Amino acid sequence: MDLLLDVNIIIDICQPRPEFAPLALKAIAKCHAEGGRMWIYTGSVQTLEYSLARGLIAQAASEGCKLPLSAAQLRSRLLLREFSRDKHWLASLAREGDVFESDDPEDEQLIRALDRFGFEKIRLLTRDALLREKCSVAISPEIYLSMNTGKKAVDFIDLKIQQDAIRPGLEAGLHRVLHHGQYIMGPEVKELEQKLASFAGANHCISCSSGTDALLIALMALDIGPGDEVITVPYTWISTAEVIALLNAKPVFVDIQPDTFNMDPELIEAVITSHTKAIMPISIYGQCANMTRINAIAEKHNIPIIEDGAQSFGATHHSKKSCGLSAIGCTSFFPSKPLGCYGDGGAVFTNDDSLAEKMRQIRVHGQKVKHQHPLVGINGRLDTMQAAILLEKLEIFPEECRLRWGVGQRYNKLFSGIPGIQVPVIAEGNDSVYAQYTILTEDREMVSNALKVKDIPSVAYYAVPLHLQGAFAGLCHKAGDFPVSEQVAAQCLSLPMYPYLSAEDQKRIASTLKNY
Amino acid sequence: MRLEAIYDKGRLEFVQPVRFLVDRVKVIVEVPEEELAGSELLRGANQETEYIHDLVARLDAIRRVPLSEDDGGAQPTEKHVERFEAFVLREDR
Repeated sequence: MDLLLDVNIIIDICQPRPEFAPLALKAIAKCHAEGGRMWIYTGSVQTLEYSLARGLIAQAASEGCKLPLSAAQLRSRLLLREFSRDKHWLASLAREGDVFESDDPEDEQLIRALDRFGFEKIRLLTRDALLREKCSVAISPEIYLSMNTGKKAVDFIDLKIQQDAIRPGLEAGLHRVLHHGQYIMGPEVKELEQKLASFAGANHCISCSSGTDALLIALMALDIGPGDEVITVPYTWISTAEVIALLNAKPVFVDIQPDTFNMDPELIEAVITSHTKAIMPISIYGQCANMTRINAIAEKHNIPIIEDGAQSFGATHHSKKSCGLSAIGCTSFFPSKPLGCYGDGGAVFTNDDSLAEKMRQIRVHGQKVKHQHPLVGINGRLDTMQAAILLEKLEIFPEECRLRWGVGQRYNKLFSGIPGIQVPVIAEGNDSVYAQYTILTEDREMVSNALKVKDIPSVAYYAVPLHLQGAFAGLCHKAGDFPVSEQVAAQCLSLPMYPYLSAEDQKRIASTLKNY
Repeated sequence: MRLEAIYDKGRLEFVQPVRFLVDRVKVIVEVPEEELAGSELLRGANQETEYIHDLVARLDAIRRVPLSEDDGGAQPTEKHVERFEAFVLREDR
């Protein structure tokens, strides 16, 4: 549970006021230990600065000293800066400005600010009895200390920690878009595309409305349609094959490798026909497929490759970045992805100028210049708000990739030697951004239940391979056609994974797996 | 100094014989968490104590620096004094 700290609590600690500071300290220490976040309202800054300065002057006077206002202000600012170092700033919003009809405008601001938090997510910690009467979530340090608020459970993916780290920039970026008002193809979209292209080592980046649309745009740009075949894998999220089917082309499946869960390159050539128009490997769970080998096969047969890098943006294959490894690379910015926005988003990458031009047109209804549509396209643009969010997240993305790798390696170490648990294998020349950390276990249900008992979430990504899905019944596949995919689908279990997952939580997960 | 010891049914025994110069010595014991009942509660309590000590130490360090008439840089402007006087009116609850 989070706490919004009222001015009196902060001054109790910073001045300090000996009669109140011990309880206030205990309360915020409890919040910290339980994984709660502590907020300070930005609208309180001036009150804090001057009230603390006044307190310091009064305290000095009671000790027979004279503290000048300028010195008191300096000390007040230093103390507040230090105190706020591990707290979060809660922005004052426009609706918290017109509070002058209230008996106490300052209190009214805090009450309105609390509105944006969900029920039971936050308490306003205050010594002010009048404020507690007015505000149902206001609470005294004594009552808070007596509450059993419980420790924060492990999340499957925790996006809040990341948001906390970049909130000031996120808010500024979103407000900038609100003020310039170019919600479609605004300046942030162009800036993002340039930065993403540079990151992936590709000449062009075409942002779009989702990872699925990225794949669709790529296939459309290669003129794939009825009668054409696209080689892909059955062990993936449905989008990979769905977009092929949407264009009335045929997904042709090849099985995966049992250790990396990626496309087995040695099975590709057997299914290449005169109708094969593309190969679409997916870089699953954040690790690139063997693009070196797949590229060589594709080159031999003059077939373009579309890398479905929805989960692998940021990963490398022989020092080259995912999405910059083939004719076209596609990725997704779905919120849970390694680089995710706060809605749907995606991008297509290529080094080919004419393909890039074509994909830009397809993204906007096939439009070349205003009102001229030489191609049939889609409504597939990334909106400017999402671009603003991604720009901020991209700043910390390289560090997050490094942290993800560390979390993955820590899992590997903790799980080594646990019987019945197969950890994901990273192929030579690859690293992984661990979009998912997925183990294999024959006792999936038991393991999952044991984790659930300890409040640890786990998900079977992907429990049913695509060749056994009703949507692809027309392909007439049956159980046994792709045995590795089927075995992995039956045993896979994805565990909590995000850059900031603590070593302590990972130990708890490992201990549960050891003892299930 | 780190010394290895085994906990066995209420007794802590050093692996190598150790002779102390006094009868009573405070020791810090490192315990495998998975072997400890109620380890989460203990960890929480330790975390809270550490958090308070750390914060108080950081704030004390700022408060300990002596301030004189010369500190605080520029003298407060008229605007600052006006604001301060206004905040004096603020009722602190």
